[in-house]
Amino acid sequence: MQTIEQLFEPGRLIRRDIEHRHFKSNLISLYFVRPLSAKEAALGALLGRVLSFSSEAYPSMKAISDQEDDLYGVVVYFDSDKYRDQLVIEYKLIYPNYSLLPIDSDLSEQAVAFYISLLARPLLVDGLFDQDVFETEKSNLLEELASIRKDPVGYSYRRCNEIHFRDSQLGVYKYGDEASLRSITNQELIDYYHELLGSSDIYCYRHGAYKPSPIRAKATRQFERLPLIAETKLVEEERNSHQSILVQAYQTDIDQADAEAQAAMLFNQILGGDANSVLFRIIREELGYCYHIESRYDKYRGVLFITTAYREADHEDLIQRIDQLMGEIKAGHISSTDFEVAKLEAIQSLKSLADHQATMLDYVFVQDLFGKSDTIPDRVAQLEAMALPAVIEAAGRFDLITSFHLKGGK
Amino acid sequence: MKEVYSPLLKEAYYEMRLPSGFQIFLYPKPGIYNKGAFLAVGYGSLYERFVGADGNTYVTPPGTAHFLEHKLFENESGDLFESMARFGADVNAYTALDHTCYYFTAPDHFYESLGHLLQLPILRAYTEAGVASERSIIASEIDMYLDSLDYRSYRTALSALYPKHPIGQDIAGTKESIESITKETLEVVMDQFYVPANMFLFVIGDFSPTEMDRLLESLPPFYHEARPRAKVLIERDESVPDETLLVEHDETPLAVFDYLLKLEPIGDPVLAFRRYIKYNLILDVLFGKGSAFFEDTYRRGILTDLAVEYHYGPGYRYISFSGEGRDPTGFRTKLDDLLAGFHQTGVSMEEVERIKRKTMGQFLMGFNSINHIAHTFIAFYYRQARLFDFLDIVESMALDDFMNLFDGSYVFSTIEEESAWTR
Repeated sequence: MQTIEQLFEPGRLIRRDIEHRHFKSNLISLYFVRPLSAKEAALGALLGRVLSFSSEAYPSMKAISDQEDDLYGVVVYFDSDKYRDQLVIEYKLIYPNYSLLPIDSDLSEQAVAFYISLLARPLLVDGLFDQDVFETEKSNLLEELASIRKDPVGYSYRRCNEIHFRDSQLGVYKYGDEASLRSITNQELIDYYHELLGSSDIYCYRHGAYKPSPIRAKATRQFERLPLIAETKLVEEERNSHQSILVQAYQTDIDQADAEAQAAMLFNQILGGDANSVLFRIIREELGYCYHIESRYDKYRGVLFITTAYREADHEDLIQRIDQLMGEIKAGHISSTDFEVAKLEAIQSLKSLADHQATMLDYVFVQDLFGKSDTIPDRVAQLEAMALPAVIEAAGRFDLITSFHLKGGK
Repeated sequence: MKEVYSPLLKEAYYEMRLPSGFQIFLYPKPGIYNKGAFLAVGYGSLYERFVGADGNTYVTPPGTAHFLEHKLFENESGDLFESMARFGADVNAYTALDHTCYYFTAPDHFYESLGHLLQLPILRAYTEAGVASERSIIASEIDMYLDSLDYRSYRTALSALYPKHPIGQDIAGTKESIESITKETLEVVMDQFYVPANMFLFVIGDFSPTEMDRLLESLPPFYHEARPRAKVLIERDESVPDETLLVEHDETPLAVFDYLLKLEPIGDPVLAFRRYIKYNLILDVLFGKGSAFFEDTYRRGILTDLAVEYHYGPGYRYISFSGEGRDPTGFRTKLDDLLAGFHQTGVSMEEVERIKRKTMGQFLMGFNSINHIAHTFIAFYYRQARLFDFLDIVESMALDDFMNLFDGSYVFSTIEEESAWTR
């Protein structure tokens, strides 16, 4: 049976194994790192779907599903994510700890072989993917991209990203866009498949009943600081819906590699990170303007988003209140309680990563991708040592650049 | 204290029942960083009508259970939610059809947070002003659901299927019904349902079984008091839908649709749980990703996604087929044909054994997560089923009777764009 090591040339893989024997499952994740563009994202998303629905050994959805079931419910899936200007195509396998099941043999090797076979031996007809499968998946992915329109909050968030990052690739959606996807031919897709396996940086991480291994990493690339956007923009659209949606993008010159990024993360937590945050307490609980309000900080792209869904009649007052709260925080009006709670939550969140296999692996991968060597205990120590002035100073380095208002009001 | 052990999982939980009827379940999970405490109350959104311990019949507005869940954290000196968060606890709550659950997870300061959690049924510090302001927030939540096409299509179908049963109402109620909820409404519910005999505490994390003593010591006197609880009144709804095809138009490139099949309710909880498992196995064979039905409809472009679920509870039982695709009419026709002919075709035992293997493996892997364990335990509790019995029932299930499994009336709801593409 083919193994992951046999699939790639020696030395191609960047490897790490994390041992944790308390889980009832094992997780393997391959991460293919690519340059981010709308075309790459569309190719990656489409390729994942085509590979998931047929292969040489399992030439139909039923055959693949039957094998997953026969291996006691293994889960195999592709997905994409993006970090700054990098697209990451993930390919994961989750399989049970077979020693806990009332069966005679350990099926781990078969599970891994199945996982490899879907990737390594796709169903090809005359050197191309099966045309029916290609057309079906392309059509379905097009529909999926278009269907964002039925999700007002998701649609608004994506529009704000597109507008804010209009002059760069950073606003590209992780699955690309409809125009890029439409242009993809079967030949292009098979070429991309070979390129993905042949020339991408590939990380192979495993979590579960594995002996821990130190990472053998390639030198990571240097990231230049992101250029700042000068022009502010407000875009409004209308929709026949009950709620209006507001998404605001606040730019910062704090880079993900800067020490201040941790302070910026705490600022986000205090501002709108969860139900203890300032936005939640004031805008939702005190003023009753909304059910949903949150802030989200993407340190890799130097941007913080505030997203809320509310009644259109409250629009002007809502904008003013958010602006007022941001101003107060920047002026230093953060209670010591809010600060200490945010620190505690951030620390708990870091330590809790170990309770979930997938998030633990993804976290470690992203650390390695950006060449960060600090461990979770290191980051916890940094947070514990952080003082409130650092958070206030970080808050002062966020400026509102882009606003997207989806006006509703049925 | 009683131990309940699973030889498959090699895990055990411990249970204790107080004379008041309050129960504590302790589930040790060595090696896990977080600890969780879940306070479950046997009162859910279905329980609009009930006979109180005083013999009076009460009728509460739809959405009362959910409203109370929102308000219970209100406190004279602030908000219990914030108090718990100050210890680093991740706090949450949810309202289900037959229960409500208040919970937190935290690695440290567990007992400080637990102390606050256990105060929730006792303090009752919500105010009339707090109730009034909460209406605005819940109205916004309802608007959020109404803007979701998936939700709206499903809700339309369910309301048409059960016009006289509270399941036809949304858990959050409506913007009109929540206007009728007052502080007094909440007080009545608290008196009748938030009583020790109607609640239990589920604790999970890196504890030893001896922790049960400390948990007992942490209970305020309230939990030792024997208090009567109300008797729920839910009538069966045997109505047959007037209209079976419900079409709405909105902005969506793909139609969303819901086919809800109404079945005869089952009163016996043991039989009802076994049926639940039986149907889940059969439905997975017939409609899962490995099924001929799914592959055929997917390849033809009739649908791009399908979720099938079996639902049951007091006075209701139905199957939902929810999806999106280009040809809702084609989907409905093919589904009608399959369901009508099922009693002749049945399912192959080979396919059933395959689904059983999948079910076993996925059930096992679910035990990685303390939240998954807790929520599954609580859901099973309110079906009068035991967590560790699930796999034994799956293993022993013999599928040799396929008669009348899909006999019932149905409603088909769809939301699509008003264009030739989706007709």
